[in-house]
Amino acid sequence: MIELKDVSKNYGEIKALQNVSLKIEKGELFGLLGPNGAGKTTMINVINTFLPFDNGDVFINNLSIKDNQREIKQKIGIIPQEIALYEELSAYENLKFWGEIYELSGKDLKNRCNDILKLVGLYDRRNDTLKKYSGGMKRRINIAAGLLHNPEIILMDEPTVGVDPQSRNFIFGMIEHLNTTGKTIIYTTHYMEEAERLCKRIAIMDHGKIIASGTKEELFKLLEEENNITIIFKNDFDFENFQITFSKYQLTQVDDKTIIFSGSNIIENLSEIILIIKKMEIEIKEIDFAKPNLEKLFLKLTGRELRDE
Amino acid sequence: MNMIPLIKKDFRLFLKSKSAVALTYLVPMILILIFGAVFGGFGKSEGINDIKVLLVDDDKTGFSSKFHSLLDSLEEITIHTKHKVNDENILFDVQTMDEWIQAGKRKLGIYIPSGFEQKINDGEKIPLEIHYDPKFNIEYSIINGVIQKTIMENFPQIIFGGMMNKVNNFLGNEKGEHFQDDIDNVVRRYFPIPEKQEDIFAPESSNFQMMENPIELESVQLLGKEEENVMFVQYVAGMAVMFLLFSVTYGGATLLNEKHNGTINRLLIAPVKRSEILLSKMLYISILGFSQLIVLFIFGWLVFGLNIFKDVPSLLVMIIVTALACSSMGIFIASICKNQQQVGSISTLLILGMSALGGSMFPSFFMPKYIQTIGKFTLNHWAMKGITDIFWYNKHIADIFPSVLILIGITVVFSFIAIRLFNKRLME
Ligand SMILES: Nc1ncnc2c1ncn2[C@@H]1O[C@H](COP(=O)(O)OP(=O)(O)OP(=O)(O)O)[C@@H](O)[C@H]1O
Ligand SMILES: [Mg+2]
Repeated sequence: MIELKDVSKNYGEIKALQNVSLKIEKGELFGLLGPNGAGKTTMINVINTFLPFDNGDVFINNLSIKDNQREIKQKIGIIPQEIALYEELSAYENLKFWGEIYELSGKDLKNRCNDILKLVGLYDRRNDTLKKYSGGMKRRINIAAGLLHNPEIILMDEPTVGVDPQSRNFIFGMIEHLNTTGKTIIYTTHYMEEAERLCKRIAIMDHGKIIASGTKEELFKLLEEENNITIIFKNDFDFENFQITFSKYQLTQVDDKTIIFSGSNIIENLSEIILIIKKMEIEIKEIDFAKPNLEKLFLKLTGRELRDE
Repeated sequence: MNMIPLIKKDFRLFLKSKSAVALTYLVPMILILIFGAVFGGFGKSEGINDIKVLLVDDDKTGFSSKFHSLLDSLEEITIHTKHKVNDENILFDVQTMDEWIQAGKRKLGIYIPSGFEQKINDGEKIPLEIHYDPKFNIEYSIINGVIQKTIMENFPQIIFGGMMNKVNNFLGNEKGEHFQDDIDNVVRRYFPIPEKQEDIFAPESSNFQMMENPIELESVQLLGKEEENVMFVQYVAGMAVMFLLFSVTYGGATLLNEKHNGTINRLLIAPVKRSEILLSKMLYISILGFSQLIVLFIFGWLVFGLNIFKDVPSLLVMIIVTALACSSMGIFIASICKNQQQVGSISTLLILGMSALGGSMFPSFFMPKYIQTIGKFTLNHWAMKGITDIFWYNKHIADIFPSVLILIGITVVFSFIAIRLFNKRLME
């Protein structure tokens, strides 16, 4: 359905996309995970024909987007990363406008606007200007505006930035609902929890490259051997002393009271580790076996955290 | 897709912005009213540029020749008293003067009838006459103003005479005489007035009038019918064109807004072409400008009785080409600016400058020659010229063709540059 073949895009020196190849099937809810500047937005804008690219080609329903722009644009709904709406107009007026842009009119347009407003849960406030909306409500209208023309493909570029957990869950519910109606959705985010929760297949991007892709299970397999144990002590501990005692493990000091043990098959050695610590007469407050997650996969693949914070 | 939704949306946004609506319609109306009230239908007597005036002096007294030489010394006007007949310079008489004016060789003439000095000494109404072609109402107003100024500065006693008449009439004869005596005493105490002129304070009855023109001059129209509030077209058109420029740059700046809030990109991702975005914006601005000019002219008609039905096709043509030219200017200003703030400061400077130089604030014939020359490079000049040509000089479509052509030229050039700049910069 959507296929990128060896696509590259440079902004001067910056390689925003480097030989990206990717295939997304019809009806998939596909996650694109990557840190700031990874090239997610660039990829979205290449697919929706907005950005000309330097190399390769993109096919939608086996049609090259180079030759069939207008047709393809009608098939795609875009939810841009930045809220792109008219603040001075009401939610209804905004939706009506974007509907008209996609050549809807008359009763059809009116019904679509009302349906979508109900879908995003803002029907009651449809006549308020967006200025009076909260950030999360604007986000929902931002999503709604991309859905009016009932597109087959929906490209969502970080649609939940700055949204509280409750609204986020609402939006997730909406996206899942859209997916069950057969829409193909690409969802970009730098929150691994979002990608994990929503998407079956995920691609991880960094520096314009896809560094891993597959189903969640396939991705976690890459981490299989690697596990962590996080131990939090009641009191401060002497990290150097630990390094000498546990020289066969890889240790990381998180803070004065927290240490991470990592290495292959570490969980099997947990009882031994606890025994030694007991002998050292240090009181343990908490032990945490971290589950494999995409955050760690990213760390493993790039040596960096997914997010800086 | 067609551009109607885009234009509709722009108007919707415009109508929601109270300040934009006020700046477009209300503020110019208020300014037109203020200008109209302050200056009335009367030209300012400052910095006029060399109007050629004929003069016939039938009084031939010391007073009349002093008056003549005073007028002659003014740089605003040049006085001609003679014309050539068979290589001989002979003095004009009233009849020849009138013939010259009727033939369009001169715009106006001043006639000093015999008994001029006598009547002034008697405190009667000054018998000075201005003969003119009412087409040149503006010049008439200017000359009238110049003469008023000259008389007030050089023969203040005449004003007292005129004022006393009015006071007398207002207060009644007896009280008037007391008042007059008091004034007389006060004036005598502080200003050494020669005995001989004592009698200029003698009251003479005349109709009481407001004292806006302290000296009443006789005017003789030689052709056609007088166009009543002819000066008001200056304020209406001047303010209309100036505020048209403000509103179109506001319109142009909405393009930058849309760039800023991401809607342009969203439109481009949707099936909308760049050219459609730009063209619809230009159409929107032009329609807005057109509506603004129409509204302000109708306002001029309702408030000042401006005869907008004088030549409707010509006026419509001028309004349309002016709206188009200004719109291209608005889009152009937006295209050279990075954001709305920049548009604000650049446009204010540019618009006020162009409006002052181009005759939107004051008629350009009040200005020094070199300013008039510079003014020719402004859009305002050609818009004002076309419009005043219709109202003041009764010109028709064919006659205003140069102005129309230049405004269309401005539209084409600025639109072209703006589109290129926008394609290059805004869509990046
Ligand atoms: N218009 C542009 N001009 C120059 N460089 C750009 C432009 N747009 C993006 N870039 C660069 O391309 C790279 C990829 O940017 P992109 O916006 O695709 O990242 P992203 O993954 O969407 O990041 P974020 O999570 O912050 O939205 C970045 O290094 C960015 O600086
Ligand atoms: Mg992005």
